[in-house]
Amino acid sequence: MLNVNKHEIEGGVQVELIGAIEENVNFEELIGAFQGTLFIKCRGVTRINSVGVKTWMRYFQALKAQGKVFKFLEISHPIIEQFNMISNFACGGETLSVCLPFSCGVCQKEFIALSSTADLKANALKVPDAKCEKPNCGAQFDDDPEEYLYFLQE
Amino acid sequence: MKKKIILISDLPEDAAFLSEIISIVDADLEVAPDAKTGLEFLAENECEAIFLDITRIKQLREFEVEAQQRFGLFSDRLQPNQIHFIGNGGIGENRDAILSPLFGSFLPRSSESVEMNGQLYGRFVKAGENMNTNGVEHYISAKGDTQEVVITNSNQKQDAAEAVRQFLLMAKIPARISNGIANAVDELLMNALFDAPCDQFGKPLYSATSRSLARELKAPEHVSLKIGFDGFCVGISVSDSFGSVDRNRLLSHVSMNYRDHDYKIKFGQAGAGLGIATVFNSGGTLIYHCETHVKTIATLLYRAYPNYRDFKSQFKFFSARFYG
Repeated sequence: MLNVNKHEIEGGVQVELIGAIEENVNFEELIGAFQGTLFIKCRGVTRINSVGVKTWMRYFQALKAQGKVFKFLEISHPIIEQFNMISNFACGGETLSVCLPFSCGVCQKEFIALSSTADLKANALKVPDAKCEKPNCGAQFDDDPEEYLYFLQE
Repeated sequence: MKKKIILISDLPEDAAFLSEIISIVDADLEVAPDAKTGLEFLAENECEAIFLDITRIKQLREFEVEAQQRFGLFSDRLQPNQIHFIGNGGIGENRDAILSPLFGSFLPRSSESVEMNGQLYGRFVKAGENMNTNGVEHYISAKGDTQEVVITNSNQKQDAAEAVRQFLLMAKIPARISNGIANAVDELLMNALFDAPCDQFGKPLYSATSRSLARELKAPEHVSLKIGFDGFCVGISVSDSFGSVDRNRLLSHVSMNYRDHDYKIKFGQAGAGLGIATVFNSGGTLIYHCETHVKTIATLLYRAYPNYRDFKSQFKFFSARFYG
């Protein structure tokens, strides 16, 4: 099940997607009409199945065909996986920021750090360090950086 | 008479791996350094399993040509179900080999944790000896817990996937891994619910049906979902009573690379193999056991790791065994 929080921001509308994108999702109904740029915050997306992928692409390809501008924010791992697997998954939308997963063997915790794609590109896609709140935190980026950020490679 | 297994490879790490397998299967191991020698042995001996190093793709082609000349590619001597390709890297690096008419199973060359990986694979080879020993129970140790859910309405799919996710989170599997496994289960259930059912002539009944439409499942359409966890390994199997998976389609979907070409959305309900690719990319082993017109069991195996880095690099293999 997917929940959508929608609110107006300067220059357009921001929607926050929370949950799973699957066969019961209808983006037209959940997002509705909007003026200006659509900002899609994806941090809360836990998974997306193959029908969800088709639904996503149909919706965003239609927006693109209508000349609408949309940008993705804080894209989570399931969305990044699709960006990496399917060359045209962004459907022409720009990605502004990504979620970077970290895990710590000391604290036994997983956490997410955010980074803008501009910063990542400026640093040759080098993942910045991140620590949790514990002083002796040994957090490490919890993936292969090259594979995880493959979709940002020129 | 003791069973025989042949390894066609001149690499010592392959021989070390095979020695673990035969300790589980209880077989004699014959090692042949090249395809020609291996086929000479196969001409004289019946083997339970054939392991072939495909690192040098030339070896696979040589094997296919020699086998074609000697036995014919579809001879009883060379059943794809008994053939195991060993390659460097994962499926992604060995896509061509999967499309070989001899393909049965693929495993990446293992130079670390040889004992652990070899024993897991040994259990898989042993399962192939008996048609009734497939499914998740075979891979979960006796101290583990296995549960079964029978799906009787297509609208139970999302609840089942969510139940799997909750089960894994309760077992302290990291959220990111649990989400990925739940998604793979979702895809396998979708295949079993919508793609597997067919009429007596093999015509699919629901492939064009909307995946969001609730449909009550009559007796042969019931789908079984089993999940087991023993603290070390998570096993999940989804089975249907149709045995309708098309071998060539499955293999072409698994070997599909969506990175280099734009994905074109079809207007129908059925996907273009994206679901199978999703399952395959979820990070674990995928085993298809299909008895034509009888049943299909798709099994997923994952080792439980405390982080995604290790989870992702775990030893995993792919197998597609077809009977009948």
